[in-house]
Amino acid sequence: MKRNQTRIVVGVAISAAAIAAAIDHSRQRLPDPDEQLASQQAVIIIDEGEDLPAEGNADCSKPAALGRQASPCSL
Amino acid sequence: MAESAQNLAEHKFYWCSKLFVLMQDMAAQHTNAVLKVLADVDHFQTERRYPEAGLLFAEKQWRVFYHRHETRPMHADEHGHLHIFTDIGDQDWAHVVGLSIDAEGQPLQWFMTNRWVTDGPWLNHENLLQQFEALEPGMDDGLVGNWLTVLLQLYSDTLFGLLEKRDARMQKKAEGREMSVMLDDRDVYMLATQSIDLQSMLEKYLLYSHADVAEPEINKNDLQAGV
Repeated sequence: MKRNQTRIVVGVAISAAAIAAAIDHSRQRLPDPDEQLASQQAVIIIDEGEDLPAEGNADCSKPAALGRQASPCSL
Repeated sequence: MAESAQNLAEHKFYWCSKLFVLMQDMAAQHTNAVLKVLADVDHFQTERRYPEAGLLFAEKQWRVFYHRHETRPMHADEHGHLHIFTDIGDQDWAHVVGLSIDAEGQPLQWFMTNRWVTDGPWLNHENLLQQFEALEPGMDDGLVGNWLTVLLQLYSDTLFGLLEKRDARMQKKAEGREMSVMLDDRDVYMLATQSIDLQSMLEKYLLYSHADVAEPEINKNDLQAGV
């Protein structure tokens, strides 16, 4: 026979049902992430004689951006 | 041995009692810790941190953020996960542990990853034990900070065991290589996990524990609501 299955803590009787209720009522649906926008392809019109944009100029090629990407869970 | 078991039972009972009170507060508010973190977020986005600068708790010695990856979840059933860091001085924060959360805001598992995943300094388990020993609820902490502090304390023995396992696994994988190389090895990702069953934990220590332990003096007013 199980003993001591109910305890009094801070004036509240704790039972298995009370524990289950506390957990169940804190089960609240978290928001779904926004749908990611489909990546847009930029159309760049280059006039005759104009230089092509250098790939290295993109922000995501900067070391800082790469650093974050390299450590996906950093502060 | 018996004394340490008694101490552990007292420790678990104390923090289980605190957790139960917090969970009752959450239940009354129909919320949970992660929902609190995301309360003011209009559009939850993957790969973003919430809050962006992290949430400080435990006298600002610990810091946490929540996020979700587009791919590669830490647990098959997770909605996202929390990353928990501790202040080690000189404005450095060391990653301690991650906490996977399901779609209803409930903790699924603790996990520990390689250093490159979270960046920052790498502390071995002995040094992190000192951080755990100093961990106390902060006077200004809200529901989220209190919930995290209580969970970390409740699972401190488990987490310390996981940290030992993490360090042992790294040593084994190194096989003569420099540790600095190992810590940045992209092929070494997840190092240790431990599933969480809060209901079983609370039942075990609040209902079925027969240890003759003193019941803690818990002032419910100390456990403030709000983030």
